Amino acid sequence: MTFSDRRVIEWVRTNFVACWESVADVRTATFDLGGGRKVTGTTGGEMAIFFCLPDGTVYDVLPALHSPQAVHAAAVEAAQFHDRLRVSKDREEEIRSYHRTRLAALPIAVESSKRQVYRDRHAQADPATKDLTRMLLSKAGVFLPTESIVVVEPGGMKFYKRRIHELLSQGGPRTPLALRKPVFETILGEPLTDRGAVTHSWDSPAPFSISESALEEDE
Amino acid sequence: MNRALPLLLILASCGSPTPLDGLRSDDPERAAAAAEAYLARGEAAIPELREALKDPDARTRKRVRGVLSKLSGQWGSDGDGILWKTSFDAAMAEARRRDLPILVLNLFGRFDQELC
Repeated sequence: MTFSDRRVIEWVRTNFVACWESVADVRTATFDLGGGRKVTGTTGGEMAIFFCLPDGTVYDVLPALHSPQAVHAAAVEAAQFHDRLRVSKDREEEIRSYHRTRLAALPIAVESSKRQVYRDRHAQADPATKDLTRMLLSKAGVFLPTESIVVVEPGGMKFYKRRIHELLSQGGPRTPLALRKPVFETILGEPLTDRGAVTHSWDSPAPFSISESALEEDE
Repeated sequence: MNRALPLLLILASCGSPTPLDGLRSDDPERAAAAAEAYLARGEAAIPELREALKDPDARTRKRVRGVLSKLSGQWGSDGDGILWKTSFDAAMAEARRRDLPILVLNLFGRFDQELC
């Protein structure tokens, strides 16, 4: 729980006004096992943190879920950048320049070939297989009789952050609402529609190899 | 008779149910009304609710956590964490007043409910 971490709590309480907004419903997939038994889990569920000026202008974005340490580091950097913006005479240009500079300094992240193969295979899979692999391999929630557990794979910073810098180094609307679609759908690949509850037959998913799909090391 | 009146009033006030008694109730409607009473008090109710987390009854503690989650805007909060605004307009108003930037978490589902 990133926002239950003391470092994050203290820094955010002191340096920000915190706010959350729901962008859409959680997507849940239920697999009917027959005989009254069902397995239900969440599929997907990315998030993004928008850092905004008091007038609502977005000046930085932390896409996807990350460890408390990474969120704390991003919040520290965002507060420091805000101190500069507070005294800036041209905030718009200061924001664009900040992201241009960061973009230039960021190494280009190259996706491993195994991950690319997995991504391509996933894109071509049927809906039930997609949901089951996402439940098992990435953002996953499992409903047990006694409690509900969500296990989330953090990361993706090296891929997503570069695209955030590209986005914010350009002009255009800069409210969280205006940036929601480009951040969630274009950068994070998480659709804002097709949410809610979906039910699949257990016969639907195609066979897939968890161990093979989970391999992400460079060859 | 007149002398007995203050004592009777004291005894009557001791016996009047508190919102916490409501959260302890077997009656779900009474518990829900008690939760609403705490929510109506807003952040001022948080210290009392934090104390109530020590209640020996697990069901009461769960209800207290539910109220704290709604008041703080974060599921599972013990009231000692971040106090989240759930309206961007309200966040901007406070940010202007305190001259602070805004951290806006965008997510699927609700942050004050389980399994967001």
